[in-house]
Parts: sequence; C-alpha cells; structure tokens
Amino acid sequence: MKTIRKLFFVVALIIPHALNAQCDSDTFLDNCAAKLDTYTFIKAFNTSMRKTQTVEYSYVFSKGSTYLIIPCDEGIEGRRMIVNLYDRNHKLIASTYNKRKKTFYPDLAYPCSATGVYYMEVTFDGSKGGCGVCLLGFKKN
Amino acid sequence: MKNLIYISIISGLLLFSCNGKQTNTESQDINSILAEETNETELAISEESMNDIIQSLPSPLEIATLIKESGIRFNKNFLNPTENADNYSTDTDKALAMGIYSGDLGYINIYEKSTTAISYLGTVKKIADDLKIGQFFDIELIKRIASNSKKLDSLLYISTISFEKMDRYLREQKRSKLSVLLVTGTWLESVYLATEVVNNAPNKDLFDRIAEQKTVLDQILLIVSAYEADPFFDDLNQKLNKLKAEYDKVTIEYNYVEPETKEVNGRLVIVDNSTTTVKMTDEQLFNIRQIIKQIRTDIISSS
Repeated sequence: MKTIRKLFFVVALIIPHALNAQCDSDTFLDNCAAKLDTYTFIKAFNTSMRKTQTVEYSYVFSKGSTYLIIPCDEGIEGRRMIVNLYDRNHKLIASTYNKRKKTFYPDLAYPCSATGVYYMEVTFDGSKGGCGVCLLGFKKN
Repeated sequence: MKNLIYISIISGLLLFSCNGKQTNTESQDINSILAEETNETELAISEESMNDIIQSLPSPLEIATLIKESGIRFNKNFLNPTENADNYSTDTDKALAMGIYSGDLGYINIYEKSTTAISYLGTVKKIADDLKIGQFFDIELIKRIASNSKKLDSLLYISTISFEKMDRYLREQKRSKLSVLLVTGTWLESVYLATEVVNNAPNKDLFDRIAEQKTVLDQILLIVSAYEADPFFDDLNQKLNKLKAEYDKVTIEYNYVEPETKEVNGRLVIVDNSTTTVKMTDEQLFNIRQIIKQIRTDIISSS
C-alpha cells in the first residue's frame, strides 16, 4: 500500500510538467501558419490552461482591413479552442463556436470598418482546458 | 534505499519533462544587464496591463501594406541607414533604434526587397546580440529563404515571427523596459513612413490611418510613462506628449451599428456596419509630421 502511494505521488508530480512540455506553441505556429493563406501574419497569441478559463487579448483593428482569426489547437474533442471577438465596448461581434449547431468554425474573418481596440477572448470547450495558438492575420480590403 | 530510488526517479523525470527549448542565457553578462534594467521603482501600471498593451499595438506591416497599395514606389531614402547602428551605445538607445529598424523592415519586406531586408536583418541581429537577445534571428536561414524568390513571403513571416518571439522573451524575462522601447520605436517609424509618403503623394487611406494613430499614441504613452522615473523614458515621454498635444486636435467619431453574421459554405462571415470618421486638417497633419520627424531624428542620431 505504501509503495502504491509513493508511486502515485511520483506520477502526480510528473504529469503536470509533462503536459506543459507537450504544449509547444512554436510547433502549433509552424503547423497552422499555412492556414493564413493570402492573409499576412501579424501575431500569435499562445494559450495553455489546465482547466477551462478565459484569457483575453486585445489588438487595434483598423478600418479598411480584414482580419483573420484562426484558433489552432490540438484537435482533441473536449479541448477545442474557442475565440470570441468583442468590440471596444465589449459587445460580442462573433464567435468561432456556434452554440446552436454545436460546431466549430475553422476561422473568423472580420472586415473592419471602425478603427479601435478589439478584444479576442480565448477559451476551450469542455472543462479540462487545452493548449493552442490563436493566430491573427490581415489583408487590405 | 527505496526512498532514494523514488527521489532519483522524481528528479530524473522532472529534468526530462522540462521544456527542452530553454536557452542557456543565464550567463554573467545577462545577469549584469538585468541588474541594470530592473533598477526600477514601482510601475504606474501592472505588468499584466503592460503586456496587454504591448501585444495590442498594431504591426508595422499594416501601414507598410497601405503604403505599398497606394502605388508609391519603394524609397530607400526614407529608411534609417544601417550605418547609424554604430552610433547607439546604451541599451536604451539600442532598443529604441532596433524598433526603428523593425519599422523599416516592415516596409522593406512588404515591397519584397530581399537584399535590403538581409542587410537590415543583419543590423538588427547585431544590435540584438548586444542586448543578449540575438538568438531569435537565424541569419543563415534568412539568407537561404531570401535567395529563393518564391519564398519571399516566408522571409516576411520569419522576420515577423522573430520579432514576435524576441518581444515575448523580453517580457517573460522581466525586461519590459526594452520591450516598451522596441514597440515605441517600431510605431514611430511606421507613422514617420506614412507621413513622408503622404507628403509626397496625398492619399486618403493613409491620411485617415495617420489620424487614427491618435488611439495608438494614447496606448504608447501609457507604457512609456510607466517608467518615467527613468530619465531616458521621461525625456521620451515629454517628446511624445508634444505629439499628443497635436493629436488632441484630431477627432475620431465612432458610430455603432449592430454587426451581422452569416455562414457561407461553412465559414463564418461578418458584416461590420459600424464606422469611424476622422477629422484632421492639412495643418494638423503638417504639425504631426514635423514633430514625428524631430523625435525620429533625435533617436536615430543618438551617440
């Protein structure tokens, strides 16, 4: 019994570190950059969480440009990335997750006609968090 | 004996599962630089807010794209000469200048001037090495990409991601002071390029974009003023406030209309009906251009 307890302790200590080591944002970036297609890469917002929370990033969008937001995750059910886009007043503009249809959109293209600070709220579906990168690209309208 | 075995297993597995990409930058040189940079009093804004603002600042590629699509030809005379890199002696001068060169690289890469890009990336690498952050620029890889004309968009991507990683590293290493200077220099150079181009060839999109930098300047002032106990930042803050005084005369009207979303072939399409309308006179633009030019001249000619 003592041996089992000690082994459990060892495993419990190691797993969190192993999980962090596997969330390699640079690998996500390299794998997902091709999805930008004709959009120019601007930023990558690396996100990793062990239980589902939300983290918010902001960026100044300029009118006359279309911005492409790409959630890039491990592709594991229950750990899919969701990005919600809000305007300057934190009014929801759109989400990469359709709650009614329970489907995930591969990206979100936003043609901006009002310059200002916009907010991208990143979270994961399910309760176990997840790992990934939210890519942002742009092109002129 | 059994306990010793368990301790050995734990130690071994912890070492194994650590991120193998940690670079060994904890040299004596790094420690002395950190000691110099982190001699700060309490910040006026939190580290988290600082990071949020730095991340939110627009990429120099956006203005560079606007410049290129206006039809204006590439003009190397607009850029900060690479020879000036020898003039920058302190870390703060170097960081600000590296930001200027980053703005130049945005312009150079959008115009796909690969030879000039290599030259400027080499200069950036040299300055970055001095600041002990040169590990993010693989010049040999960049040269290989630049020599292949089909991969020039990769050159743009590699340049952008290198700066992105470097900036993130600076903030993770609690060297946000340099990160603030880097992004401030980049922004200044982008707006400088826009004002010079518009002065030579009037263009409505660029005119509006220059006016809209009022929003970005407010963000920049927040992060610069956070370090105003440092004389270098205090001086920069005062110069930027002169620019703000001019931008205060510019108005941006925001009109909100509910956006629409629809699904087209499985993709989410958004129709944004809100608008912003800028009001800036030619005289205000002239004054903004003059102030930016002066601030930039002070930075690039530092010695």
